[in-house]
Amino acid sequence: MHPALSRRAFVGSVGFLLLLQRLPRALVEAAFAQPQPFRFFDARQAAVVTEATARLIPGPRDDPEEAGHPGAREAGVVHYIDLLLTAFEDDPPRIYAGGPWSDRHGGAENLLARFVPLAPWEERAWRRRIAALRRRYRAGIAALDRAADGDFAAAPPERQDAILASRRHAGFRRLLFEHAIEGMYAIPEYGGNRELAGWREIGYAGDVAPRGWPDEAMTAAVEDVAPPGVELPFPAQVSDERKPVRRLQSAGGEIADLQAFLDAALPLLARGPRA
Amino acid sequence: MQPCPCSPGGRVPRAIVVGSGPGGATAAMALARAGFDVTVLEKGRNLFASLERPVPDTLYGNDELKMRRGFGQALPELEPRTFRYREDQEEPVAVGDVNTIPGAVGGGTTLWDAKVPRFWDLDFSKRSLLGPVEGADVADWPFAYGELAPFYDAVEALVGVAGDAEALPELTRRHAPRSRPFPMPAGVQMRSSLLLADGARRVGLHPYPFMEAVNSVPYDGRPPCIHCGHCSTFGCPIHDRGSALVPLRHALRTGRAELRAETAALRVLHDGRRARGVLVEGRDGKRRTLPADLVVLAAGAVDTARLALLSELPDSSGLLGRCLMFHWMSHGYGIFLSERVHANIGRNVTQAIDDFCDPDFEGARAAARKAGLSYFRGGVVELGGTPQVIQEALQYRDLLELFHPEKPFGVRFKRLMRLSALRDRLAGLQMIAEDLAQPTNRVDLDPRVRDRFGLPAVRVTYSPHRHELAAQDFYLPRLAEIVREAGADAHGAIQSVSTEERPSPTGQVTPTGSHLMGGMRCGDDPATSVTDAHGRLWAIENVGVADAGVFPTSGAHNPTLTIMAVAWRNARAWAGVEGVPALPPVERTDGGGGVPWEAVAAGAAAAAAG
Repeated sequence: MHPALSRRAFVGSVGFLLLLQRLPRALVEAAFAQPQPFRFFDARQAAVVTEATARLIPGPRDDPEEAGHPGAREAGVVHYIDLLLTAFEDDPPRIYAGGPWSDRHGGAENLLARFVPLAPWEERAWRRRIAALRRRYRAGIAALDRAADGDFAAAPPERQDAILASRRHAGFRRLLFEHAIEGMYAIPEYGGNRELAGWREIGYAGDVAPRGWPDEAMTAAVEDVAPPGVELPFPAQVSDERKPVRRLQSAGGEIADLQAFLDAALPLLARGPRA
Repeated sequence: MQPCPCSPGGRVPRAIVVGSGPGGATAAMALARAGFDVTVLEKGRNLFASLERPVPDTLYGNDELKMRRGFGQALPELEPRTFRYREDQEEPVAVGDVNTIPGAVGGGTTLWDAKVPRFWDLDFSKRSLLGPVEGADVADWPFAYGELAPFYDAVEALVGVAGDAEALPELTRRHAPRSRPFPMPAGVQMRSSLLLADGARRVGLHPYPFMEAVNSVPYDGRPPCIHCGHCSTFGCPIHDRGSALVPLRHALRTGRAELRAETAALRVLHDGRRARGVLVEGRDGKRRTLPADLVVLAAGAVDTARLALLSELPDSSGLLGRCLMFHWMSHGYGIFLSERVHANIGRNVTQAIDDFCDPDFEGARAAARKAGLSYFRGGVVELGGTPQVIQEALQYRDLLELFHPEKPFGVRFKRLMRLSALRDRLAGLQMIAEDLAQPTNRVDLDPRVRDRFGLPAVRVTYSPHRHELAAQDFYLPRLAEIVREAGADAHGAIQSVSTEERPSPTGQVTPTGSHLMGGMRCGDDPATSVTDAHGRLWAIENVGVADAGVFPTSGAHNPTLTIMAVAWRNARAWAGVEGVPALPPVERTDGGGGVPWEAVAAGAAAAAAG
């Protein structure tokens, strides 16, 4: 459980908090519990994707600060990506999960686990999209290996980080990061978010239909003071012209400027869900 | 049955309705109930089963990834649109997704959050009450608010609207008077919305529980909302949210209506005076002609105008496809460090203010004069939304590139996700601002780009009027002020209106939002309107328009309730039916449709008891 959650003081009703803490244990398909062969990646490519996405979204094995916090490795992100790249090896293809709900929050059976057959034109478009993604993965993985003298997966973490951060690999890194995010936080039926690791780590309840939330959860004031002393990735600059806002003290003693962070975020927020 | 003006020789008249969204479904219901045989064409898929039931089986659900992948939407590479700012621009500035609205049975109402305010009296009599604006084409509608009011009542009862008539501010009651309460009490309010409503009150504004077609109690055989938090941009998993499926159900239950999904209308067949049918392409790729006595265009304003142009329908005024309007969504946000405002639990937003719709809002007239205008209007402000979790994560990915290019990933990303400054601690607001009609803003056919049927793609040409820019400049600081007064630890608002000279910082060049209006403007004079006072093409009486294409003004509120009310009014006139509609019977709530009622009730009770 994320430390901020345990600090939650709950005003109004205790039901909401208890519900959050009792996120059901994963009810992931049995197949996912076993080590799973890859369908698109060979072992070497899978290792590169596993290690690279673990640098982007690290877990306990990847960074000491993440003890207790699962990352891409634990969530099975590489399997999410492998299934996306081989979506058409299943029938129906694994593009659109079904509806309207899983069995995680009151549904009698997991209806999200049955994928939706595609319309003919959707199939045409998605076959092209996935063919293009496959090309990008083959080339991107090969480029990471080349940059690491032939073996990205075996390179030291600092070296892996430097390669991933370099401008040369920015395009593939952004794609990997997007897919790592999807594999971390999408419903587990797409092959990632194993044992709901992604959701559990951030205290997110996920697909709550059909039970939903009680009325009290909507109105509740959930006090949760952002912990001081945690280094936040905000810039240190402070502008005097801005309205004064509360600032966070970071571990290093710098003043972190939340307002500058929000200012930078505004264009992204306003661009909407299909950005 | 009334004799139908469209029907030769007394046989049962046939209507083809192009589009199954709110306008098309409402027209189909009215026509089928008036005795027409109705075929509803939907280019997209049918992602429901058993549409005759109040709670059809659905393939939508709480799945953000599926929606990101375009489930139930036109895929931009197959049905591209192009965008340019000016008519003299040869090259498009955007190709692909240009204000595309959901492309599946139910249309835009599959993915809406069902906010259903009425337009104001001003919107229908804009030119008479507020006067012309240089460079724009401000017109009156061919009917006034009072004539539409009974249809507003009827649509509210039809789709089920929750609201609090007593809590409406005086301004709203004056400009959108109502004679009856809402069919359901207002639903439970979201924390994020209440916080921003407090902020609004502190700066002298008048927030109220926003009227929503979302069940707060069982209604019409559909359950109350479960607050799953996957509302706007998601399909409702239990159909507590009203939609076009309600009138569609009533149409289908007459036994005189059929729905043909995955069937695209390619061309209205006509001889310049009368339409005789529609050329369609089905799922099998075969083309065939469907005969019709009445053709109803309801594909959404942009695609309706496109179909009219592809069909070379006669254009009495030269305005066909012109006076296209969008709403400008201006956004404000606040981050709360001391609490999680959890705006992911609920119906997207539950409070609104109408103050900025008033051309006489304090200081607005003076600011308008400075901009060389006699007035301007902002629009309704929705209080309280936030992004979903995958969207949030992608924002951190992009922000880390700005702040930490040396290593824009890793532990920093994880900390941001746990803190959730841009989701669980965020409360947003958006103003849905009026867009003035300009003849130069238009739909026409792109000379090069084609869609999956081999037909010319839509080309949208659009630049905002200085009215929109001036209104936004005036209201942006006021939006930010609401958030600040709500107690946010950081707050801001951002320009969304984009022009060639002043591009929006969001990087988006196309207009914001999916409220598409105009292009088939209705009116009293064939020289200044495309369709008549009942939305029929002036030169071809048996072609009607049943979407927001007929709107002469865009209003300053969400348009769907008005789309449905106008479609109902007009379709009855096409069928020769007089007066105000008798309401279709409202279903008893019985749990049909496979909702696990026991689980829903038990789960909520257990959660409440802790």
